[in-house]
Amino acid sequence: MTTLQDFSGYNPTWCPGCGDWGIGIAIKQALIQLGLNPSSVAAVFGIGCSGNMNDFLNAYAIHSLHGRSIPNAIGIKIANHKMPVIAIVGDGDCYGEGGNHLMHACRGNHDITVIVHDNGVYGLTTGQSAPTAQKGFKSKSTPKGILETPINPLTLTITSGATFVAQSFAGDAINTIAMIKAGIQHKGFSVVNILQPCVTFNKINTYQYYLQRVYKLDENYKKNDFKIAVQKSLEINDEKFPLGIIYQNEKASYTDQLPQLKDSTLVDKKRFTDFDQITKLFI
Amino acid sequence: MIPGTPGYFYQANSYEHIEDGHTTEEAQPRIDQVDKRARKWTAYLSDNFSMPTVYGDLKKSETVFVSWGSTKGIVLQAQKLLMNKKIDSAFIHFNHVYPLDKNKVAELFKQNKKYILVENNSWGQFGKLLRMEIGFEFKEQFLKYDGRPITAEEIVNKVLKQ
Repeated sequence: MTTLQDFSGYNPTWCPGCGDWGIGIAIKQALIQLGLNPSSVAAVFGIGCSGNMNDFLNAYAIHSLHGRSIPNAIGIKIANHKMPVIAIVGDGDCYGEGGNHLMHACRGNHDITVIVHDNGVYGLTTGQSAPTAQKGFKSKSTPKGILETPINPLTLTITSGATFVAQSFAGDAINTIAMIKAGIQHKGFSVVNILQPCVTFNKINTYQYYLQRVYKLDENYKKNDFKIAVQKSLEINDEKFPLGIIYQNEKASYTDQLPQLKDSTLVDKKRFTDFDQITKLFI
Repeated sequence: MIPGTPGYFYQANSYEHIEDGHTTEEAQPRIDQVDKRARKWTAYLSDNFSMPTVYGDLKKSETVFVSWGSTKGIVLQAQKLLMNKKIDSAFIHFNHVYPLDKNKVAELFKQNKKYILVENNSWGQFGKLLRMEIGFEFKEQFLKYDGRPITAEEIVNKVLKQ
């Protein structure tokens, strides 16, 4: 049986009290409960405090460029579609630098799980405003308050074609573990947006702030109804944060639709390497 | 090792890292890594670098065109047209543009010839690169930068005008 220790690399350098600690444990727990081990899962990290988990989580991993974890994760998935692939990112990394990749990964229904540490700031670079920062949020980069309105990650991903969109809160480990597990088990593109207090640089969206505004979705909530899901996701705009699976639907994933991958994974196929045949034509 | 191999794992790290892929901020591993990467250059030059191809007779010709990449066909055509006018020319065509094996490449530029740089840009970047790498400066150049490809006739005219 795989243990927490097997998945543990370096000791995290996160601030004491940071929401990332809860998310880090939740990711390891979810992987253990799914029967995975560091050799059987691929993890791709963006840049940020969340991405530094590259050194703290044992797995086949890539610490990619800022915002580019999703294309790397898609690459791994296409090379070996039998391997679970997770992208571990922050709201700045994924909704800012990597926003374009996120949108098109949703469309492609690529069978990867994107775990977003959503804290509204670029914590690693000392707290500049990130895409989910609320309008008026004051930071070093926006001393008079940010002019832009925040991204709504739930609405954005649901309407872009993601087939699994969930939300959890870093202060609720049990729900976070459940959401990550459900996301990895889901066949298709899954996003878990985790509300994460940055205790050092975000004095607005604190544990108290979220505890007063999060609520669990009702058992009878119809998660496969697109219109209801969009409506539910809009509650964020009024600072109400539903926790649970906001939207889930079954659709063929990207690799499901590739006839070339019917018989075997790409990595198991023989590689074409004799490029001289082709280049001769051009030189 | 292919990810998924049981019993192992590793991380491809975009930060400076030690042998097992973990991040480091120490000075010595940084130096070791930079030196390791630098060895790729030596390996490339010994195993993969190809010298430019010389078309025509470098010894016999007074005019030597120097160019790279997709201008090849046009310069070859210009050579044919010049040949019809009984003008011999040679053509040094680069496919591997950087890094360069300086000593070997410099040998091609030591003869007392009229070297003409042919490039489809306004600055003659490859000429600048050659000057930086082997210290050779072009006295003649044909640069075209009107957004259209070079034609063989334009090159011929350039030679005939001189």
